[in-house]
Amino acid sequence: MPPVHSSTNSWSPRNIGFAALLIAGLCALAWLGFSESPIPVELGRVDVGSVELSIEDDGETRIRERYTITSPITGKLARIELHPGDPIEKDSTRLVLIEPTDPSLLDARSQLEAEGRLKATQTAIERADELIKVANESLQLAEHNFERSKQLFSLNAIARAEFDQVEHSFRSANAELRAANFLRSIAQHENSIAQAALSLDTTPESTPFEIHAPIDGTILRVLHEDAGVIAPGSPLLEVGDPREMEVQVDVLSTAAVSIRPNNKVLIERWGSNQTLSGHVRRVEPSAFLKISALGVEEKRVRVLVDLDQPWEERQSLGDGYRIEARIVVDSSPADGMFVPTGALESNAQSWFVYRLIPSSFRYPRVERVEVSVGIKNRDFAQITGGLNQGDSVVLYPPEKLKDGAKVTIYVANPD
Amino acid sequence: MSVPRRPLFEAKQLSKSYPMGDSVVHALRGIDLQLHEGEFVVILGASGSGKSTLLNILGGLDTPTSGTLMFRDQDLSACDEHALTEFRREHVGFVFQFYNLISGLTSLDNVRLVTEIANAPMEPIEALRLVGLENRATHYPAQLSGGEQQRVAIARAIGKNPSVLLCDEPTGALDVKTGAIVLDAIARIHRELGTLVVIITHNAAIANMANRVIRLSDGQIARIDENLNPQPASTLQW
Amino acid sequence: MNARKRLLISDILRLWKQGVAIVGLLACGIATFIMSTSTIRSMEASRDQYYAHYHFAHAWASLVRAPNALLDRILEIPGVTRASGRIVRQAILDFPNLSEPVTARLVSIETKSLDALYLRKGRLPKLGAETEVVVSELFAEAHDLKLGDTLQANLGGKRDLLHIVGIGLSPDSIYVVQPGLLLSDNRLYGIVWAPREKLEAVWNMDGAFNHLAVELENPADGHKIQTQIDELLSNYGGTGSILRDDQESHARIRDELNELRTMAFLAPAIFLSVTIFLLHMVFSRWIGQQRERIATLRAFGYRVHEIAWHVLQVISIWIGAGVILGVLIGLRFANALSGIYKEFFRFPEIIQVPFGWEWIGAVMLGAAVAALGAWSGLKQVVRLPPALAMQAGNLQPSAARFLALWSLRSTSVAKMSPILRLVLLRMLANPKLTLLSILGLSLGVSLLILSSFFQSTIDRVLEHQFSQCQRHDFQLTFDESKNESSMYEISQWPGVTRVEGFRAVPVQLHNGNQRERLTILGLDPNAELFRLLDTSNHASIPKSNGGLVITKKLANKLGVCQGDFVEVEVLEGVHRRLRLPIDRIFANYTGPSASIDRATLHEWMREGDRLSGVFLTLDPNYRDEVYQRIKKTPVVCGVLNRQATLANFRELLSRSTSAMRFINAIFAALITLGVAYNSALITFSERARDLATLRVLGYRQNEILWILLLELILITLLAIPIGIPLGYTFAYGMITSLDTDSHRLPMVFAPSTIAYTLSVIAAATAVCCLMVAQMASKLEIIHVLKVRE
Repeated sequence: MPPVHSSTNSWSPRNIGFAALLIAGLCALAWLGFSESPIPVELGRVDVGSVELSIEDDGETRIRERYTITSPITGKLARIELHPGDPIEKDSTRLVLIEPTDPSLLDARSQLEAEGRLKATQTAIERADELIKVANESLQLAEHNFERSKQLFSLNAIARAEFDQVEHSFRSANAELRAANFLRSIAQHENSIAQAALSLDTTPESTPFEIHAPIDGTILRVLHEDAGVIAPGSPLLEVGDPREMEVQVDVLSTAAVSIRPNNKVLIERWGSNQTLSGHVRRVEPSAFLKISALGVEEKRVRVLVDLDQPWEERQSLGDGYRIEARIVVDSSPADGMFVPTGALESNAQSWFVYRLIPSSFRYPRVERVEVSVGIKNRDFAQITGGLNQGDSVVLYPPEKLKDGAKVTIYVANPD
Repeated sequence: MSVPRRPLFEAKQLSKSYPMGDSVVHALRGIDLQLHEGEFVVILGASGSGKSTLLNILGGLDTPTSGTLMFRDQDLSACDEHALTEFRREHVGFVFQFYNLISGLTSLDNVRLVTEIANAPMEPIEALRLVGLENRATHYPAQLSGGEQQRVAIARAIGKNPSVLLCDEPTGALDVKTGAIVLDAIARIHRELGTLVVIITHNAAIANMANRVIRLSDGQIARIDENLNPQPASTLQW
Repeated sequence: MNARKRLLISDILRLWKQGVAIVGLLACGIATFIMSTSTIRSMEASRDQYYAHYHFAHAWASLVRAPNALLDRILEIPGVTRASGRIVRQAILDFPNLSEPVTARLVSIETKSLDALYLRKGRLPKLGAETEVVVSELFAEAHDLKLGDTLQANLGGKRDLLHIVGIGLSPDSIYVVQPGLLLSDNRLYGIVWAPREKLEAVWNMDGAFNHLAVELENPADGHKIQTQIDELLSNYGGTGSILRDDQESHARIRDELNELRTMAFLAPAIFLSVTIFLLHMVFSRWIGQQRERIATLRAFGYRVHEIAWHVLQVISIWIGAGVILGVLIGLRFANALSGIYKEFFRFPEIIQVPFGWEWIGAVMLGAAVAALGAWSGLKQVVRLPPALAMQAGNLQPSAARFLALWSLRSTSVAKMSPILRLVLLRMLANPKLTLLSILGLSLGVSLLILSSFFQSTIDRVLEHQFSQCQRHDFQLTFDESKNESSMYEISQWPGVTRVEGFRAVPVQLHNGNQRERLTILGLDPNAELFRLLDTSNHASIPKSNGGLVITKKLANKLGVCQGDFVEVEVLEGVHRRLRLPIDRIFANYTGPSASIDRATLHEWMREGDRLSGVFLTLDPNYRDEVYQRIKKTPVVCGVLNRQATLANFRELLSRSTSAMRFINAIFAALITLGVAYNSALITFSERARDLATLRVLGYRQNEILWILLLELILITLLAIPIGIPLGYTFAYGMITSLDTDSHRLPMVFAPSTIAYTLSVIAAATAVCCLMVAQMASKLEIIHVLKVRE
């Protein structure tokens, strides 16, 4: 048949062209409409650094060495004008003034009792001296070990754990010596009181009975302020040495198992913007029941922390103050990689992140990468395998996100 | 004048009947007929004689109930709807009693409707020229008189250079004078193109234009007359 | 049967295809109208009866603790007719087969109280060795609880076993939603009614109450009386009273009914408009075709009104059929709609109100449709003088002339195939009808856009709220504020990754005469789990020692700008009055809210570090263990699980939006089919003669079909760029009407909406093309040619 050129012929080029255009249009439509729309995501980076695992809890300060001043005799107490926080100097600051009133002190039985007490205090002094001697010896040994270990550690000849232990022993020895000295002072003080009580003179012209500060430190509490007659043994004042301050943190028993002596501790929110540091001295072996803030009865373990900073840098920190303690129980190497914790997703076996595949298209894609995770805290997680430094990962991946999905990036906090 | 050529159409025992209610109508009963190229044939018959049915079958609009109709080598009676359409498309030009022009298109467009689907058409304006209406090419049927409309219809019919021009009562809706002009146009086309022309009518006066007059009555051919002196249209009177 | 009736019937039958389309569309419009209005009336009636019989109060207030004697003083306030005091506390329930903790609102059962308890099954609890309770019906259904089952509960620090002896409802909890959520999750939150003595014992509330309900003589005096109530309660820890408009259950029903009202207007409007278009098209054409017959009748002496009456009868039968069908379908589906609502709203009985003004409304609508649609056709009939009709119908010369001029100017038009020109001409010849077809189709398109758009907008809001703003796994609420150690404690639970604390303080904000009661949220500066994001995902972080960060909705309500100061009346503890600056205003999708830096809040409140609750994320492997701990922690009285909430929302919303999409797709397809097919039908019947002529001239069947289809496709293609903006305009209107206090929806343009719309339209058009092809194949050439035009 001769070629036809009419447009009404079904298979003319024009009609075929139309049909092709139509089909192309429909395909484009389908692709445009039913292709996935990009999912908005926020990105974080894989960086290099150390991740610390720490246990946070609140705790309180406690002055380790405290002593209650009691009256040894019956008498008329003069009003105590001292207040908590007032500094005291050993032997010079007069704490208490009592006018003896009880003549019964002169009778034989009281005399015998007083003598007995005197003897006891003398024994206490001797014991304290013994303790000091032992503590001194221990300290010398510990100091020697510490110096040696310092050198070895700087040459990488010993492990960190071992160095920690030696440092810890040195610190403990120091503390022990200070405690022993404190006991000595107290024993001394009680001795003088006992002596003074024995040689008491109740004549009207006699001088009133004085009690002086047994140690350098501060008044912690005033237990009996008003003037009046008091009986022997009534507690009057509590004194202590604020330099010997420790921090007590009661952690959950499940958390305590990770805490070791000499773990670094950061003390925050104690009233100043400065962060104090300390080290775990001891994790007490026995747990006790405590009703928590949430009303649950739980087993808690007491952790005792020594402060690093000398007293001068933390003078405003008083006794019984609430602080926030962060006990660092583990940390990853400083050359390791980490990601924000919000980037992690997990199923029963392993951890995943969604890594951005850089591309020049308007909507890049992400790939689901399995990663191995080391130390994880509330903000960051150590990555031991699967990612490279500088990779971008999706924070808090939305439920819809899948491997290979198209994404559009948004930045919530531009800064 | 009859020319001894192979027949363009050959009908053998062509019959057509169709049911009407409870009974059957026999429109054609055993028609035997030959139509040759270049003839001018008039089929006469009263209404109900079957002439329209015959024209429809010749034009491929209908199929016979029995018998055969050959167009050259093709057996039209055995063709399906699709083949008949192709036959019509290529070979048949139709002129209706009521013109049946598309009212929204110009004369030229009406002709183009047909020339654009033809394999070997003439130029549309040529077709209009052949009927003397080339200067009414851009006019719409509403602007033309009845006679002019029919002439445009004729131009449309021959625009495709058909093998046969079938006219169904072409002057039925026109007065004598206009009718003569239309018949004249048909005669001119017959003269210049040599197309086989078949006109069916009940008007006997038209028969004087024909080479052959076939009279149909009650579905059968009653008579076939040869006319050796066809008259021009202007002389006809009815 | 006389000749006229026979004529009538034959007319109706001849136009049966068009009739089906018109009746169908009208029925759809009437049905949606009836369905919505009947449901609205039914729900309103049920609600009002419930409120009346079970004494739904007019005002409520929460307080810490007040002696019952205070109720007498409240009764003394003029305008107060009744006052009830109850004990209301939240507690955690431990379901053995559910690791998640379930939160329950415990309510004391009082004698003759307001917001009375309706017992669906069982009996009221009796005092005895065992604690007997009544649980709410939706909650019971969600957990398949029966009478006799027991519940483990943490009551005041101790575990208690509750025995279910009844299942009930109360009018203030028709819709139950956990505080802090937008949608209800009946699985994780429910109401438990217990004997007063029991709650008194657990929480040390002998002879006291912490929740007040008040009935007013004249609800219009509500605001005045509120002030007096608040004053009386201020010494007892009252946090501010609310009226019905702010009561969560009542407000929810009200919002839902408003949405229904919008739908009751919009959907029928669309259908009825299309019906009018269609009726107009079909009718004018039909009258046009019948001119001769009408003229003949007139010539024979029939009066105009007799002919008009005949015409009216045809129309009435169609319209009548449409109205009746619509009413029947509407009533049938109204039941289904009420059934859907039963899942969220519970009444003692649903009152069906089948009879009412809706019937009249439907009939009136039908009459309006008939009038508007058939008006011009009838005008034609009336105006037709007998003689004119005898002329053959001619094409309007103006259009033809226009096209002639045009083709003279532009050679491309002249070269255009006559077929194409024919189609265009026919479309231009009667611009009104063509326009109506296009508009009708565009309404179908707009319907698709509207319903599909909803899905994407809801997706965006959910994504914003639950994937970008909130990123925690749980939000725990404490029954009273606890100190910060609680945060450390939770962070030490095995499996807990991150904990952030928050402090929530109920306040009333004042700016001149404007007031707003809400809860200020105190957040930590480095909060990651709960952020204040605006619609562009930019975060606002409350500054340390700074002021309030509020949402735009709140700013609008109070009439404040950035930098202004507002008065903050603290409603907890000591009623302080503070003056705080507005540091920042941001726009988001939820309701009015205010946040501040937590440490700053503590300073203003002169309290130490206190937390109202925490946000936490956990390691999914430890999920069950964390659940166990939560259940064992008495101070935790509420748990919100973000992922469960999101899944619940998605499921609820997707069920309704996908149902809506499906139904709207059907509707749109019906509209498309109705309009397009009818248009093709009209073309076919008008042009039958021309088409037959073309067939005779040698045009193949598929070429004829192409002529019919071309017009159809052109109309559809033109309808699309009209329908799409129209659809988005409807969507915008809908969003604006849904812009309530509690949420604001964004306009989201998603390619999937357009793709979906075009696909459905393409499918409907394809079906229509097939139907037209079928119709065209029936063209009887000879028959058509023989009939005089």
